[in-house]
Amino acid sequence: MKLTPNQIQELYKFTRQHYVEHYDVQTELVDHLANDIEQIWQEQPKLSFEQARTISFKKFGVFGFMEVVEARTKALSKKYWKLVWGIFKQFFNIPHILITITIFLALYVSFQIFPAKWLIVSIGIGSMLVIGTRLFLLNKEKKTRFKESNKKWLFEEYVFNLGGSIGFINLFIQTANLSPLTISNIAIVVTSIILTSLFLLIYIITFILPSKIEEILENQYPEYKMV
Amino acid sequence: MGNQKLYKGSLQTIILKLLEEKDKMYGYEITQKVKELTKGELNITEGALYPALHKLEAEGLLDVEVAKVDNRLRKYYKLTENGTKETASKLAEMEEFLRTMQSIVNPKFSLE
Repeated sequence: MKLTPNQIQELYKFTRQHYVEHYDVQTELVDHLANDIEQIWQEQPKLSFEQARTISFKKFGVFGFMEVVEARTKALSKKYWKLVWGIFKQFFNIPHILITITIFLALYVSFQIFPAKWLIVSIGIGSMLVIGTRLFLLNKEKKTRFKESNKKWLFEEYVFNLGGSIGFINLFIQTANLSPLTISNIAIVVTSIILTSLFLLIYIITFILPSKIEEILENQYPEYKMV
Repeated sequence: MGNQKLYKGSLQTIILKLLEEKDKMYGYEITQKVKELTKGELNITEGALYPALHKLEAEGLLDVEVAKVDNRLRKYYKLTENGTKETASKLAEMEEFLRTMQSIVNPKFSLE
């Protein structure tokens, strides 16, 4: 006996009730449960849909779907940073390297003119404002997208939450306050390199990736255009 | 049922080996195939299978395909080019491991 479309929808609901929010993770679990329920029915045809579902769900253990969700999140985090790294590397190829060199030189010259501490703190505050504004706007966009499609994708969540990197960037901004008033020439070069990388990183995660969201989701999920 | 702990470290190799033999497989199919091959001795749990599949996918060893089957979407896994290479080296590692274990557990066997 095969499951009906209604029962499949019931299974989607069931995964949502068990804290699986994202459609991509739900889909894999729904197919698994459906296969197992059909298998259980072959051996015990008298069981109701709910009874068979309970037996099947118990096989996931005491943590239910949590382990699967956690593993998926971890795997996608790896993919996310691979994507970021791929774009980051492009900024060292021609012609993008011109942008990178310009940022570096602008920072280097600024450090010659302004006191290091002031500059670093201002950059920290500026970055925080940019990230904060982008996060606010992206959050709004995320909600609109969810309203339209009624589906959340785990990778989409990752991109719109800037890969959870806010903590890391915050850490930098907080340490900025500890920097000395003036720094040596070598320190200026090193700081300029670090800040250039940080600017590129912020630009990639807050602007480039979210703007390519459709393309990214199509690549990540073969089912994206099917549903 | 055997000691599942002993099998745990080999889960990725098992998955890769199965996918080497069959072009593409979905999660449930893998659990059933392993049960069938080992006559019920090895039972891959759901909580272990999907994390392993997702990890292999993130490492670029597996690729995914989705098809509509029986009113629902089914996610198939298949080996990438890198995955095929990795399978060969993992299987070689596994054989080496088995030989080593054999010589410890049953030294007479290796002398014969």
